Amino acid sequence: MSGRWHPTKAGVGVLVIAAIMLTAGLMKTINLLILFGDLLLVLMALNFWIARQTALSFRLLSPREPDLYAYRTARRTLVLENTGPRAASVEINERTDQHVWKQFVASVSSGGSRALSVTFLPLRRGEYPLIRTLSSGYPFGFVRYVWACPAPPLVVFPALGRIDSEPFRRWLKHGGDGEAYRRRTVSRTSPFAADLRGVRPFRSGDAPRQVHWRTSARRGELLVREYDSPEALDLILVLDSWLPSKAEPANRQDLEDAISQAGSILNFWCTTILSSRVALVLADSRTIEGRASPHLARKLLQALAKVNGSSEFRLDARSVCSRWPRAVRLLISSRSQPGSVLSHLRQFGGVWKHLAPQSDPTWYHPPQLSSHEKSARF
Amino acid sequence: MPTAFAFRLSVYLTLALSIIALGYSEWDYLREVTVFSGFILLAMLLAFEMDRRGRHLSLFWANLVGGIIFLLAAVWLGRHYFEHDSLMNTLPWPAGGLPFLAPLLMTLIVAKLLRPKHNGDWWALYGISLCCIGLAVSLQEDFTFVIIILIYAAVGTWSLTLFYFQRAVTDGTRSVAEIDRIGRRQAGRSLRWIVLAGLVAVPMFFLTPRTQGVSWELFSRGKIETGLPHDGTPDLSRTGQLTPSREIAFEVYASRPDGRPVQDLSPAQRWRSAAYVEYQSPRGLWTPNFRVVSKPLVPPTPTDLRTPTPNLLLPDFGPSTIRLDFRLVTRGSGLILADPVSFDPGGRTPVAIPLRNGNYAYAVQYWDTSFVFAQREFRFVNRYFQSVRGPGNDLSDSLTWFPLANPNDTTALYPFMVMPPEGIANHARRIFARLVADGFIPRRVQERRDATGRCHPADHAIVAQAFSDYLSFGGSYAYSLDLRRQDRSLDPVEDFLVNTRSGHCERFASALVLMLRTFGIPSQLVLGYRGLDPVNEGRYLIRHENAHAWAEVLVPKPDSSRREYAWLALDPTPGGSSVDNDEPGFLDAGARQGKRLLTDYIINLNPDTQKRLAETLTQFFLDNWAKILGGIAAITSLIMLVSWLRHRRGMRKAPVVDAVPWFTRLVHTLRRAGLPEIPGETPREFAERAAAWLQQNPGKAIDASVPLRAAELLYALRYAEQPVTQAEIQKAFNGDPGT
Repeated sequence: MSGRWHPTKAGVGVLVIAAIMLTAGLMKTINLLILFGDLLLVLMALNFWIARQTALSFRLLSPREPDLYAYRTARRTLVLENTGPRAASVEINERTDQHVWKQFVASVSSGGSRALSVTFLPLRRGEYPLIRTLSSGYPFGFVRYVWACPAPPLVVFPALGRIDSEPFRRWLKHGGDGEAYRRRTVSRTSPFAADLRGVRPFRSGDAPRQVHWRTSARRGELLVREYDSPEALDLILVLDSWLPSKAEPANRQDLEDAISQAGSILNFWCTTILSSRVALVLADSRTIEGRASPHLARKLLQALAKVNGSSEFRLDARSVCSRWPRAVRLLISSRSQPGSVLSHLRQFGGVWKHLAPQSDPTWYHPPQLSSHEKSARF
Repeated sequence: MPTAFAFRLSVYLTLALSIIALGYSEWDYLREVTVFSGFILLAMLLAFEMDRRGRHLSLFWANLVGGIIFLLAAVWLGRHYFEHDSLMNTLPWPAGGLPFLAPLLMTLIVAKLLRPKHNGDWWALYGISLCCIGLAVSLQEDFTFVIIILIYAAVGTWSLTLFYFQRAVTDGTRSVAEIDRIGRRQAGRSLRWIVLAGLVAVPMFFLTPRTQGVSWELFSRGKIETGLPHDGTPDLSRTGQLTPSREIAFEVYASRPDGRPVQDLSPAQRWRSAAYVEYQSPRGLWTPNFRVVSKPLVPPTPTDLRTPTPNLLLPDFGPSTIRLDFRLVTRGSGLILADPVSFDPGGRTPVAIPLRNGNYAYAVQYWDTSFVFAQREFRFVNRYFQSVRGPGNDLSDSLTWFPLANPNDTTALYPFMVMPPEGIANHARRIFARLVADGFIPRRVQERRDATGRCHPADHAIVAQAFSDYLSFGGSYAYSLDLRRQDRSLDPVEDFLVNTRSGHCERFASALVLMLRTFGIPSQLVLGYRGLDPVNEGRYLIRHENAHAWAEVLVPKPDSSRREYAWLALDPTPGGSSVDNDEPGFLDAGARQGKRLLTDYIINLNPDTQKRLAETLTQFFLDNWAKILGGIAAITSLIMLVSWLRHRRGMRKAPVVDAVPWFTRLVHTLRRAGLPEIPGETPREFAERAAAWLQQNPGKAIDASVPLRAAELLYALRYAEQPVTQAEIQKAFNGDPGT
């Protein structure tokens, strides 16, 4: 905690007036002018003292920050607590490189607290160093005492798209997109289906393969198989965050789209297939893995939030691939031609599916951005 | 921008007080401005009501009103400029222009109030208000004015506090309502702050170093105490409360030639210091004689002892001879002699000074009955002797006659007969006519006046005495220490004679001198002292409060062929005082004492007072240091005791309700287990630290996740205002919140 004084224009004006009064009073022997000048100086000093006492009597508590996603407005809450002996006022200032929040709280009773809300629309993923200060000029505003409250940086997750469960499942089941594996089944077990529980009426989007023809014929309506608990299927997602050294806006856009896709898939996987394991392999050879859970989802999104593009290539998925031989393997690349990466990954075994910038899978709905948000991206 | 009612009220009160202060200060200068300030206050009421309704003048109308005001001000200033006796032409520039600034500042306030206002406008209003106060302080300094200023300071502090809130709020109506809510509380706090600031500012004020600079004419704020003027120039234009000073001016040891102390000096004894002839109108200043006039009279020089003598050779006036041993407190204040100065023409010089080598040097006589030392170094003496005739000789009626320096040329007397300003002369003529009509002046005196209205020299004494009696006993004039001016465009003496009709001895004596000059009677003003304070064994103290002024009229010696003149002393000051001599009540005494302290140590503080105060306080501390330290310790203890009692009462009155007892118990449990909380730590920080500690120290009864869950619940309950059920608490504590 470090505090500093900030003189205000009003304070400088009062100092000048006091100096004029003192000078005129001394030169012309007008004692009341001298006394008035002295009084103004004392009021200024009093302002120094009270402002510092007031500012230091407050504590800023931040309940758990909500998950922040790029291009999605979030409401954050801060709690201001007055630990001083009497009711007081304070001004809170919060600043990142993309937002400035300033709020004056006129009165918080002694020992009381006040919850303050602020909406925040982050225009990029990543870390936002946060400068947060409490200040007070009470009671006259001739001077302000400002002290910085240490605050961790805000982490903004990548914008997430929507994933349609069943088409995604079908896509995963058919392997080898764009290569010789087009007709080959990636996995003989559906990641979302396990024990047959019964049948249910056909719904649009259901795979014809799942239609239970015999029962349908007997009952006179289309019925599809319904599975009980989905079998846990692990996922190894490799993110190739490639960015040329002289990156064009289009390259950056490709990278952001790839990160967004990866985030969406990981979030979907972690929150839908709870008993599975998920691993994220990043271009800097870091691997983050764990049991699927909302907590892991946050951890993975946090890692994605901090991903920077690089032209270097250091992917290493050997360890996780050897441990999880039956896991679904997925490469998401920001390159338009990820062939070299794919051939590198194949040495770790298994069948690799991949998504490239020009891929437009039907199961993925990118985040909906307004024109303003789109224009603000780069 | 919406403004809170409390804020508006405080600002308008502050501005109104500054206008009241300015109007009050203008009373002695331009009375029409004081009346004008009343209209300004009414206009402010209108502006306040308009502000309440959210209405303001448009830019066009505001400019139009401003233009009209400017034109009116220009006409008003022009009228004053072309009026000969206007204050603008009587006071020195640029100080003389200050009283004329007041109406401009006042109208500027109203003009700003009638327009839409933002923060900058409010700051401007505060600035103008401070200018008003600065100007008012330059014009007026009396007790009532100081009270107005103190109220202004208190209200202004309150207003500044509310203005801080007003400019800090950004979200409109809700915050404005909040300012109204806290406005009253801030009033109490502001009062405390201004008292605290005053307690610090007053010692600062005392410690502020000052120089003995010459004050500006308009701002002649020197020490308004009884006593001779410091610069040797009586200033009749000064106003304010004249404070009797008990300080000693000089001491006198009176003894007979054989050494016996004299213990019966007259309580009405006069002590002359200097005489003044030239009067500067309309400034109201007297110029000392030695600076301006030639010597019209030839003193009947006593025996000229130019060389010092080893023995003190003073004239012997017979058995009633008294030898006075003067001890001046202030070196260099000139010779002060018992009046009238006794001497025999051709006799010895009655004034001598002891030299360091044991010899005595003698003064020479001056033409206006004073004695001076020829050698310059002797002029700054602080001890000397004078030989006088005792009261038994009835010296007051015996005059010492001086021959004219040039018997054929009476023009040398003209400086004593300079015609006063027309207003004074006319007033004197009216009084003369009334005195003649009432029989106080014989009709023959009027008939013997020449064509220019001058009296016959033989009637000078009669006329002078009649005028003196008129002033002192006529009942039209009163003695007062409250020096006021009613119309500063007039000469101070004319203002005294026509308007105020009250004042101190300088005004009475000056009025008599100037009125007598209307009739060609040579006269001068004499400053000195009257009275004494016997101490013991022939020792007398003469204090500054004994300072006095009287007039001297040059009367010709009847039936003298040598054209000899004598100075006739006349004291026109009424014997009674307007000061209430009754025993004051407790409140009156307190008020008087407060007024005296304020006047002595704030308004009229000067380097001498500063020095005296410092010496007094130092001596007081040295004499009573044990008591003072004990008192400070007692007061500190008392404050601590009261604070403790209040704290205890507060605790008893409002017991703290623990809304999260389960979290408190958790904290206590962890503390007992060896994890104390850190001051300033938030619940979440404590919980995270506790979780880490529990993980590092397995085997405790509490699971590492419990503190984190408990903190989550606490934040949800306290800050997010989410209801927390008992089941959730049970769950958070693994079924046992009391673990």
